[in-house]
Amino acid sequence: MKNYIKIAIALLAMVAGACSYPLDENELLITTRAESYMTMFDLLDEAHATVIMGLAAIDTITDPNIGIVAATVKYGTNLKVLKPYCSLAQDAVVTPKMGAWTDFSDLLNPLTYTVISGNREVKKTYKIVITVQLKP
Amino acid sequence: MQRRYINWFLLLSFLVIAISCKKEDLTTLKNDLIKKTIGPNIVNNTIEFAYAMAIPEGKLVSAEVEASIPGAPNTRFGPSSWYTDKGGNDIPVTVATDCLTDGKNSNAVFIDTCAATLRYYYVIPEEAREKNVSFQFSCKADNGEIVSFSSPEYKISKMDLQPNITLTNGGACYLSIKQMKVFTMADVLANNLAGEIDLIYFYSTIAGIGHSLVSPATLPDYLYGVPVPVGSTNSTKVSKRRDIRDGQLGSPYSQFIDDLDFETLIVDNNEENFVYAMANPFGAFLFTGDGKYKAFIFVNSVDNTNKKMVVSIKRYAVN
Repeated sequence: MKNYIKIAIALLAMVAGACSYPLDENELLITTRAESYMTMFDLLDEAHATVIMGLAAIDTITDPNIGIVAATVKYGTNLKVLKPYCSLAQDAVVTPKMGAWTDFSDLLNPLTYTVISGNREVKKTYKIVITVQLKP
Repeated sequence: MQRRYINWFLLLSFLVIAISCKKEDLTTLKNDLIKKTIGPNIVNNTIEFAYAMAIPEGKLVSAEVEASIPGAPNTRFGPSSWYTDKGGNDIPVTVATDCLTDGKNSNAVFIDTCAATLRYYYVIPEEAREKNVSFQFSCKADNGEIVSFSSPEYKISKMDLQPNITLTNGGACYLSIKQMKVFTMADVLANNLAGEIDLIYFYSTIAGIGHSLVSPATLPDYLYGVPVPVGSTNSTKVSKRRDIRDGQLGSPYSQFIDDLDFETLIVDNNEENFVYAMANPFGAFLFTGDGKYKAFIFVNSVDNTNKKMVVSIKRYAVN
């Protein structure tokens, strides 16, 4: 009987511990992780097919707070209607939100996305530099 | 006391059993109806019904249907009754003669049968567009009995459907959404159709280009040398899609694009006026440059060897 009580107390403690992280404005957990980086970036067209040739190159070396995503998109891609998505470090978030139709057509003024760590204290801003494939 | 409850319970149980076992009246003429066609009802297409009739003693004499709006030519009863064999195939058996249609009324005269399921084919006329149609089916037996069945009302769509248009590289490649037809350059020039060409088809072996549709007004860099008829200046907005299914256009799904989809569809100036690398099951929403039509073009098949693409189109007139 005593063992059951101990197990129950341990479980309660685990639940209480799991619920101890605060939530951000989007009701996502704010954790203790300080990593803020992007591991993958892709762009989809209206047919939900990738328009990037090969993989987007993600530069994380030049500056700890600034990154560059370089992607070459297929010739003829409609840059005004693309849906970006990415993979991030655990617990990190990205702003502005991805997954919405976005205009990437101003190639001289690349869009930027900021990755914010799980503890919401470390930020890294990525510039999305797009190049259009030369006419094949 | 307890025994009294048991008696009541037994009595009620017998009553329930007696009611549930009440025999259906099988002595009179019966009929029933199902609509076999699913999906939007589109002008010039056919709505197919299966009308079933049976009488236990005696024979069927005739079947009749009255449509609220007269059908287009070829509206008729089929002369056969159908059954399904062990392999799931529908097998026809001729049971009627004199399947005639006159205005709103179609009828069939039976040869010698006491039970049949006739098919009724209603070809939707132009005058029914955007209206409701309904049908009053009836059947007469040789003992003078008559039964009837009223269908619900069916809404006829505003949109049009044109299946299986074959586009050929360098041949019949000039597509008019207004006419829902494809023309050769000679046709365009001979019939002064340059202003009605909305898209031009071409095929290229270049990776990423393949089977493509371009507008006459597409920038020359994206035309890949396709000849544009003199006077063709239309710029059709194109939004390529992969996730659109339509059983009437050739998708193997019972899902359909309906008027409401076109009414709420936005194909705006953010869209390009060309699309590359089309293949089954891709499609594209279109908005013609004159603002008169929205459409969906579905790729049924492509043929790299013969440089052809077969498409089906649903078109919705704006306003």
